[in-house]
Amino acid sequence: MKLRNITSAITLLALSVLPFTLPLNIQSNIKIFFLDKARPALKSIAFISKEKSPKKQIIIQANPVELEELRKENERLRSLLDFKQGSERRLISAFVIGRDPSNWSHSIIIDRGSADGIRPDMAVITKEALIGKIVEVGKNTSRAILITDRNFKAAALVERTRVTGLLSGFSPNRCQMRFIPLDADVEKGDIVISLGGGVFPKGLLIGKIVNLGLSGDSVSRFAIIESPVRLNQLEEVFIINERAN
Amino acid sequence: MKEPIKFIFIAGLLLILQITIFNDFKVFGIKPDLLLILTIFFSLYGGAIFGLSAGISAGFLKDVFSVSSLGINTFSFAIIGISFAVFKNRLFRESIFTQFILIITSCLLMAIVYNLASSSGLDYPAPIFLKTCFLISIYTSIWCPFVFFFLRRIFFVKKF
Repeated sequence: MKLRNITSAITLLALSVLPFTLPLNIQSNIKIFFLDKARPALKSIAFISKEKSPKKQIIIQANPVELEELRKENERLRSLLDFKQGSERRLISAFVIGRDPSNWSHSIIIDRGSADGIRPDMAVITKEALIGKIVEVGKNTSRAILITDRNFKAAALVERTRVTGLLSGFSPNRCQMRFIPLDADVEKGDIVISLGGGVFPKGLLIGKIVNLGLSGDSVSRFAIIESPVRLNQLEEVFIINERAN
Repeated sequence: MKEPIKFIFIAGLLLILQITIFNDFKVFGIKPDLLLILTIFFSLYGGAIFGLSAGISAGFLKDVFSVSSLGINTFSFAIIGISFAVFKNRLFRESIFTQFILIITSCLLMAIVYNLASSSGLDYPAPIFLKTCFLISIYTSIWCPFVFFFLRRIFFVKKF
């Protein structure tokens, strides 16, 4: 009995290591398969608070607080529509239907996929700033990695002095710009934008520098950047339907 | 036959809660790890094989819906599932303090595995790393008694 348990345990442990050995494209396909299957459930839950049943609408008409909430949501959606229509870039709008279950990685699941023209490496923005890029695409669902994820990398530029650096995630709420020369003119409060030339178009707002420090190797500095977007409260996003050359 | 189906349903439910509704309950950007609580529950009440199986399943589900590489959570949860089962007869399982210590240990282990396995390596600044571990442990521990209570009712613990 004990030998059987040991054998089972060893087999199961070997099984737990198996996903590590799969090629990246197979890993991606497995994830996309489950994402697409879970989309209806995720979308229903995401919209439960927004859908108003006929019975509830009668109550809302009598409730000034809920009326005010509806008015604010109306204003917000109108401003998003104006942003999309007024933008020089082709944008695909999407709703956020889920987020990363892990506290160590930061990503969002959106309700658009390859059927809507989404492709990997497209930039994801809100009307305020750049927030990430598409990493996995299913038929009707996609996943975007956020700028606060440590595996997110992008070339960035300080708008005032044109100092360049590498942007990556830092903490659940902030990102950092590394490899800033020691003698570079960079201050707290400087605005950081995307450099362009790679995945992201040039000039997308990323955030504002809130702190500066010396890196561990003492030959460069880093800057902590705070995004103007509340990444924990994303509801609607836009995907730029082009990739920079 | 019913128990695996119940487990899959409960794991799926906890996962959906974790990636949707519980995002509204974030504290300092942290949300509780309900799948970790599920794994620890099966490890303590079900033994090594149940704990290992629950860990692999819960970890795989978490991997699939996470942007991190497939296998990170599967492996971490498997280790947690089998490790705590070794001590299950020596622990006062119903104690909140015991659950808290187990969760701190699990969070630390998962954080190390995750950061070692990620492409950036273990280059998180130590204060940020420890602060995030601590917050995850505290917040997950707060939810642990409630989830345990719910799971004990669903899985009829006295059957183990």
